[in-house]
Amino acid sequence: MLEIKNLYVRIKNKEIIKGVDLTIKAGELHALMGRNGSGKSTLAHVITGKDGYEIEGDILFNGESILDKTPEERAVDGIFMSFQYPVVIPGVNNMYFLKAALNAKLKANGQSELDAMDFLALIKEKIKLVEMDESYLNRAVNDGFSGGEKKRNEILQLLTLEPTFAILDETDSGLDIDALRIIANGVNKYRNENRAILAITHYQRLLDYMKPDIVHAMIDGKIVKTGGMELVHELEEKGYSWLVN
Amino acid sequence: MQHYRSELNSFQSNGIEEPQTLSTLRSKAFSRFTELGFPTKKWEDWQFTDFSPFKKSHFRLPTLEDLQLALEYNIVPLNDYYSIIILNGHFQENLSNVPSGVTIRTLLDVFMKNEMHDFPKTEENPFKALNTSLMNCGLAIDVADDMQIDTPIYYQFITSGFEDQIMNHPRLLIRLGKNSSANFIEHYHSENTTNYWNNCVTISELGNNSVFNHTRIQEDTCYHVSNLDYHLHKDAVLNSTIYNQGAELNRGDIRVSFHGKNATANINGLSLLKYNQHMDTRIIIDHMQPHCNSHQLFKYILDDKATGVFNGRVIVREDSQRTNSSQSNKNLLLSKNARMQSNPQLEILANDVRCTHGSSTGQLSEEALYYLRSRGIETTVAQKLMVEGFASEILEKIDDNITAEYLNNKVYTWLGNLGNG
Repeated sequence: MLEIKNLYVRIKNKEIIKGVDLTIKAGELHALMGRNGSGKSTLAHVITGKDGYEIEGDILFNGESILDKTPEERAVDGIFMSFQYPVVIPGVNNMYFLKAALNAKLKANGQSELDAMDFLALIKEKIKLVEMDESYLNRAVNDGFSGGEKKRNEILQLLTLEPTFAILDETDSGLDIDALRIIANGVNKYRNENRAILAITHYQRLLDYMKPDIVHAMIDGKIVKTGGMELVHELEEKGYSWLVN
Repeated sequence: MQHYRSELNSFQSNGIEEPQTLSTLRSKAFSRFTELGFPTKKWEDWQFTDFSPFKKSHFRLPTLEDLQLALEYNIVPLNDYYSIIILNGHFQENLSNVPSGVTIRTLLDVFMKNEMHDFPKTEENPFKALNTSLMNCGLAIDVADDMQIDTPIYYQFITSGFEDQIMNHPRLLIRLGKNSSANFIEHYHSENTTNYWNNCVTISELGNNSVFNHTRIQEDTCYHVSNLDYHLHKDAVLNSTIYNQGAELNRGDIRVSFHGKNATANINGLSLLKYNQHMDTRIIIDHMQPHCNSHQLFKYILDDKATGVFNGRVIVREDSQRTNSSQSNKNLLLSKNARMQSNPQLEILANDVRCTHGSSTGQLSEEALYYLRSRGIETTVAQKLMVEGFASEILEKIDDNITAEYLNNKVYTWLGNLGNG
């Protein structure tokens, strides 16, 4: 589904990603672990198409290079990221935003858009899955939401937009144990054999709930080790220093 | 100056016979106007605006014949609201209706009863002085005591059909009796593209324990100058929204005076500017009495080469303890060539008060734009959503849904081809 080939990324002449190769197949959940500043979030933003990076190498999504595509084109193609820091958008109604996003995707894929009534019925089902109060739909996007509520709102978007590939960028950070369970349940409901996930995290906690198929350790812009759940335990126990030569 | 004097002279010789009190008032105001002259760059509170068009242009007052020009204008009612129509400076009594408990009189009637105050010799605002001397259409609207007028009164001031340069100096007096409440929409619009100028004065007097919901919508296309004075008596509540769009040159002076304790003024403004349009707002909130609240939020959205000025001053006088006041001015620049001057000020002479003020001017957040785009929303749509969101903070404060909806649509249409240019 997603193929990253020999990827190098610079921001203002500073090299952040220094040769990453990564292949993620449908049905797989990959975990990407690493310290702060190792390049994990940069990798995520490069996949979703944020401006301001100098990029070498290639990223293919379903066999097609996406580097020339805009973030919105990638989104309607089926790429989604749950933001580490979800952005507050003052005055923009959360439900209106969700509807605009879903209809943009439906329209781009030649499907008919949902009207207000159908969308309301849909979103009321979805919001139950993340145990959020419906009142959050009538507030401005992430405005006045707590950290946990923002993350749940991200998962609500994931469940509503149903992308084929989802990046979870530290979706578990700053969550208490209940919120973590809700997020993990939401992600597990999203998961199926046609979809793939890249979960970026520092911690074992979320992965205990989600059981990744493949785990990567990233240090200084490179993936230095790939393994299974045992690598998660090893990193939790020993940290990252042992991976540095 | 000479031009305005001859306009005054011909107005007085051609018009209906006026009471002596009115002629005297006009003359007094005109001499004050000539003393002051039009503002120049040296005037501190006026320095960011070029008033030379008023000196150069030869605007004339409309005559009764000009009424014919406006009769083609398609007057759109707002819902089934009460209506007051002024066409090319002429009050249309046959097109107007107000509920019982509300009386409308022309200023001529008011002067017949000697109700209007003297013109203060110390008046500092030349436009107010000029309006007083050339007042060509004026109404006094009185709401009796203990009246609850829930259905809004929709006042339309329409300028239409001219091919030469005309000016109006409308005067509006709105008085709410004690314990009464009213919703008033004051709307200036036009389909004229020629040089014209409306120099308006609206004075609102809120009696004890009255509630006044005021929405002022300015859609004149050429020159618009306004003076809005609000006088709040004990326990009165003012909710005011001031919307501006479309004028080439627009100067608005707003003054709120508290004459009794425990009154509250909420004043919000939204101004949309594009092309070379210029809007200059000056607001003075005068806390002359203790235990009063004032809250202001003024927003500008500027595109192209538009320029905006916001000068706000909150004065808390020595004995006005327990004043609670906030003032905020937030501006959104949609183009690199748009400019905004913002200067919120506080002048506090009492010690037991709570006052805040602040100002910010910036562009659309790149982060927010990226966030929306990452959800599949196209850049131009995302930008529009964000600008509408910025505007909605003002428009959602309007109690009346139909007015709010009208303005939401205005913003949406104004945004039109945002991002394509």
